[in-house]
Amino acid sequence: MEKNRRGLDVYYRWLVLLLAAGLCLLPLWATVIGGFKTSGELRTNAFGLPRQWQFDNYVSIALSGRFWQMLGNSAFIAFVTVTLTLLVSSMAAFVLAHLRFAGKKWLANYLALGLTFPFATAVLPVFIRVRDMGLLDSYWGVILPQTAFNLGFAIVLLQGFFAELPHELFEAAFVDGCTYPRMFWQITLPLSRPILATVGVLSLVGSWNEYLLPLVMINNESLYPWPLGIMQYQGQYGTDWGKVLAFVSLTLTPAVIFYLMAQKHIIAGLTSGAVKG
Amino acid sequence: MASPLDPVTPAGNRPVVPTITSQVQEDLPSLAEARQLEQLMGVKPTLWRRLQDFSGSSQMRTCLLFLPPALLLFTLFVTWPVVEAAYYSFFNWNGYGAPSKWVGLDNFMRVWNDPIFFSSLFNNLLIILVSACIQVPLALALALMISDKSRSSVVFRAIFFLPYILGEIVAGLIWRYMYDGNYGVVSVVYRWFGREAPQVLATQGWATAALLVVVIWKYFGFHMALFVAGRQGIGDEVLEAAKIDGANLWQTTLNIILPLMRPVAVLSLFFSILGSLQAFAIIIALTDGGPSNSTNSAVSYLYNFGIKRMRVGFGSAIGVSLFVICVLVMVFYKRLFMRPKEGR
Repeated sequence: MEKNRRGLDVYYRWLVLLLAAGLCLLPLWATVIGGFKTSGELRTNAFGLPRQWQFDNYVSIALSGRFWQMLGNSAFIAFVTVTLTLLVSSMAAFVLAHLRFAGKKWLANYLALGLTFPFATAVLPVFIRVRDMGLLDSYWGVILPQTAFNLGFAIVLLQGFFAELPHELFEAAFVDGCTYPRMFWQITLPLSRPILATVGVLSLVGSWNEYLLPLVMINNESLYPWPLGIMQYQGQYGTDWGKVLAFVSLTLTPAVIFYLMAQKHIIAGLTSGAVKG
Repeated sequence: MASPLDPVTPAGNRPVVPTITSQVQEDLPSLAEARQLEQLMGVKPTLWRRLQDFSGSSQMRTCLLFLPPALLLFTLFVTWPVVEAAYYSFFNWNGYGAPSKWVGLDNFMRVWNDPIFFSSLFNNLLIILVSACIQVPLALALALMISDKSRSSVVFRAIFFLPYILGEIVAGLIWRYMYDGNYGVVSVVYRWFGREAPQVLATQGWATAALLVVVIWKYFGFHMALFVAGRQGIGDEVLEAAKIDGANLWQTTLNIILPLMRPVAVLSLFFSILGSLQAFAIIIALTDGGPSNSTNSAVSYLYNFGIKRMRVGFGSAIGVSLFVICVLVMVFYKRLFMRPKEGR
C-alpha cells in the first residue's frame, strides 16, 4: 500500500500483528509440542520444548490401526459426499439456469430453503428416517443427509455461476443439435471449474469436520469418522493429556497439510462461497 | 451430430421452421404450426400451450433426468423432516413404534418453561454480542492492516485463517487442555504469578467466558478474510482521489474505507448469528454444556435433552422452536440490513 508510512506506524503494525499471530498459534504450538511431553513435564512446562523428547505417544497412535481406520472413514465419507453434492447440485442448477418452465422460480426458492435453518433442528426426524431405511451404522446414513443439506448452498452458488456463462455458446450448440445433457457435460461443467472448486472445498471441509450427524447415525466404532474417534479417545484417556494431544495433533495434520498446499484457494473458496451463498 | 432420440424439433425458445411431423392426426395443426400461428397473430401463449410445448420436448426429458435426484434428497432429508418434527412435537414418543401418545402443546410448554433452555438461548445471544462487539471489530482492524499484497500480509492472513479450518472438536479439545487447571497453559500463566490456577471450565461464569474466547479464536480469521476480500474490492481510484484531495491515512480509513465496508460488516455479523445458532461440537468438546448446564447453546441443549435420551417429541419441540427462531432472525436481519440481491 502506501510506502510513506512513518516508522513508528510500521513498528506498531508489526507489534500488533505479531501479538495476534502469537495468540493464534500458541494453542496449536502447545498442542503439538505437548504430545512429546510426559504428564509430569506437561504440568510444569506447557510452552517450551520438551526436556526429554518422548515419541511414544505419537508412535503408538500412528502405528495403531484404529487411527488410520477413522481417518479412512472420514476420507471416504467426505469423498462421496463431495462427489454426490457436486453431481446432484450441478445437474439441478443446470436445469434451473438454462431451461425455462413453469414453476421454476418456485422450485429454486424451495431448494434455497435449506439455507435458512441449521441441520440440528430436524435431526431427530432425519435419524428416524435413516433408521427406517435401515441405513443406521452405515456410511450412507451420514452421506445422504449431509449431501441433502449441502444442496441448498451448492445449487444457489452454481446456478448463479451457470446463468452468467455466455449464452451464445449454448445457442450455437443447440443449433448444432447438441442435446441438453451433452451441453451440461461438455460446456457447462468444463467452464465452471472455479465455482465447482468452491463448492467442493466448502462441502469437503464441512464433511471432514462434521460431528453431530455421525454422532447420531453411527454406533459401530469401526465406522467412526475422526471427530467421533477423537472424543472417544479423550473419554478413554481423560486427562492423560500427552496422549490426547498427540492424537489431536495427528488428526489435524491432514487438514493443515491440505490447507498449506491450497491455502489461497481454500480461503477464497470458503469466504466467497459464504458470501454468495 | 443430432442424436436419434432427439430430432431437431423447435423445442427451444424460438420456433425455427415448422417441421410438420405429426402424422397421427393430420387434420389438426401440429404444435409447431399452432405456435407459429399464434406468434403471427401476436397471441401470448397460454400456460396450457406452454405445457404442451414443454411436454415431450427434450427440455422436459432433461428436467426429468436432472431434477429428481436433488428434489428427492432434499425433500427426504431436509424439508420433510422439518414437517415431521412439527408433527412429532405433539407426541410423547421415544421413537419406537408409531407415535400414539398425543400430548398437545405439552412439549412446547416444557421447553418454554425450562430455565436451561433460556440460559442456552442466552449463551447464543452472548456469542452474537461478543462477535459483534469484539470479534468483528478485531477482524476488521486486522484485515485493514494486512489486505495489501505484500509477502508478510499473505503469511499473516494464512496464520489467522488457520484456526477456522480446524474441526470444532479439535478446537474444543485444544482449549480444554489450555484451560486445564493442573496442566494447561492457563495454569502455567497463573503459576508465573505465584498463584494456583482455578479450574476455569468447572466454574460457572468462567466457563462461559472461556467458551467465548474459543469462539473468537476459532472464527475471527474467517471474518478477517471476509473483510480482506471486501477491502481488496475497493477500487484504487477512490483511494487515489482521496489522496490527491489531501486526506491522510487515518481520514481515508475513517471516511472512505469504513463506510464502503459496511455491507461486509453486515454480512460478517450475519455469519456470526448463523454460526451461533449452529454452535454445537465446540461446546461438546470443551465443556459438554457443563458446569451444571451453564454453557449449553440451543443446539447442544437439543442434543443433551432431546437426542441423547431419545425423547423424540420433546426434542422435536426444541427443534421446531429453534427453527422458528432461526427463520425469524434471518428474515428480520435480512429485511433490516441487507438489500435484496439482484439477478438471483
